[in-house]
Amino acid sequence: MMISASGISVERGARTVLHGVDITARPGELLGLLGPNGAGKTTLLRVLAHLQETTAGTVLYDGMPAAGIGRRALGRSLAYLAQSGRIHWPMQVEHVVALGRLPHGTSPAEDAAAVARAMAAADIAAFAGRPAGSLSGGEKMRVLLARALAVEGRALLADEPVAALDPYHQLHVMELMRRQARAGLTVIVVLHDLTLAARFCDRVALLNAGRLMASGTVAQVMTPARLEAAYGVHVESGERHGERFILPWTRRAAPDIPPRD
Amino acid sequence: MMGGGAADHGGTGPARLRHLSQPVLLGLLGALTLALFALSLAIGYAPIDWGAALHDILSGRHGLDALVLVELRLPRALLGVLVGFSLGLTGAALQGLMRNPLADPGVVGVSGAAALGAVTAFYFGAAALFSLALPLGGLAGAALATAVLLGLARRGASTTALILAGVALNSFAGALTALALNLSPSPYATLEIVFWLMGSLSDRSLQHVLLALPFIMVGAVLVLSTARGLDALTLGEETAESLGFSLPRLRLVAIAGTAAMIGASVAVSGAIGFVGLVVPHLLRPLVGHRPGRLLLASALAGAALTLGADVLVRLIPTRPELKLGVVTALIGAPFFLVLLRRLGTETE
Repeated sequence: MMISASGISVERGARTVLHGVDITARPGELLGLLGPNGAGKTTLLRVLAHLQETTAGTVLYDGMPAAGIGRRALGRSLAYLAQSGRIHWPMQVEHVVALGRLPHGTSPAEDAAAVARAMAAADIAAFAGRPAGSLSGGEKMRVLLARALAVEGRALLADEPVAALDPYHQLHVMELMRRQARAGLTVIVVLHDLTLAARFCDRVALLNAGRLMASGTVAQVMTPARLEAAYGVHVESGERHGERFILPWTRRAAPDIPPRD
Repeated sequence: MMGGGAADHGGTGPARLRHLSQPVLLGLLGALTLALFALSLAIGYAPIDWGAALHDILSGRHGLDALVLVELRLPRALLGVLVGFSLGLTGAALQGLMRNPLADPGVVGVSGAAALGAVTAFYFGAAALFSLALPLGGLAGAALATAVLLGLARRGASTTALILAGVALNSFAGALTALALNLSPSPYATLEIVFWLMGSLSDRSLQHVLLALPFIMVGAVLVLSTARGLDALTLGEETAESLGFSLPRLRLVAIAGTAAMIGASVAVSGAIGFVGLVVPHLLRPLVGHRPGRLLLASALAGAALTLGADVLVRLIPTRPELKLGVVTALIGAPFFLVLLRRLGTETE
């Protein structure tokens, strides 16, 4: 599903969270949303998922506004993975994953098959019967990811899915995200880890103070100068087997400067 | 403490997850409710001759046995079912809506307002003029509180804001009820109000049943329709919205349904505490902690518990008879403490 947003502005009280952001996410592509804390990444992801009202701008899904698609139909084609990652009741894992089938109204057999596929994809079939409360952080994130996969939609939007994970599970989740994109989904991921972004994303968009600084390929966007302007850190970078790694190395002396228009 | 992370503990191991299939569980609870309903009909201070009573009813005569059965026992048992069903259902729905196991039908403020309405009817003497003044006053109070809540819900208030509004409504209604007691002209009237507030199913008529029934039925349909939305809320409001559920609509339907059921229940029975809080806790492990499946199971268990407590009230030989609300609180509160210990850290 092609998701294209243009002129997106969001105001929260007197504060402008996003200023006229244009962004497009394409099927088959893993798009990374980058930027420092408070840059507006989560707000933009929520706008793209039709979970956040805008003060200006439009979002189109395959050329259609959300109002033309309908809430339930959008729920069937776009899966959203929230940052909080909370499962409020100690339900069994497979019942948590099955929540992804709620918008569908398909037969129990179809739902069960979709749940089984999602659990296999996220590699959690082994603990389908465990209560959610007994899961480790990495297991829980994969369960929630499986929940989002069970929607079997055409877009997957994830807010910092690797933030709380150890390196093993960070790689695991990013591999899963990339596999979803290769399978034809439109995948948008909010990330803080620059190396994961550089290695796994097909394109990245860099936000700072509510504005889009740059978007394009990793090579185009993630230059040391731009990362320094956005994050206020010097980065060290290099290459290994043709893939870039970028490490934040030292803080710049002065605090972050406001964005240039 | 509020809301968060209820599942983030290992309180229920895999061995504890064996739960009955939903139809079996509902069948068992339904059978239990029916059995307690029959027991409630059978128990009373005057023994009745069932053969004579049924014969009288079928032949349209008004013998004493038939009178006791139709005028006293039947309304009491029916109200036990209706009120308990309402308490169990709305308790489960509100706990699901708020993702908080401490929610109870009382928190939306409608029960306090219904009690105030009934007390007002007492206070101005309307209750002495005709018997339905009391429940009608209760319904009027509940309707006012519901209007305030729905007005807020329609303007997009968050669940927390709605609950805080409910707390405020409850406090205000409680203060006005206390004022009525304070200014009450005679100690006798005060005593009667206090007794009524304790909650009871005794001395109710079929008119009370007919008055509450439509509200409870409409409310039940509304609340039961929120099942899938409550399931989705397990993953938080954002995820529920992304699954295609409108949160303002979900809140509106759940609160309106709760208000109708609890308003009508309090109007005919007074305040009966703890059923709405304890029953969902008891049933939750049996439905795999799924909020949607909890609704009907909790409703039936609420009916069974209320009927059972009301039977107990009549078996305990005290004069005057113990009030049902007193007994549910007496059993419910310690039981709830034990339950919380067993549930460990669930509410942290």
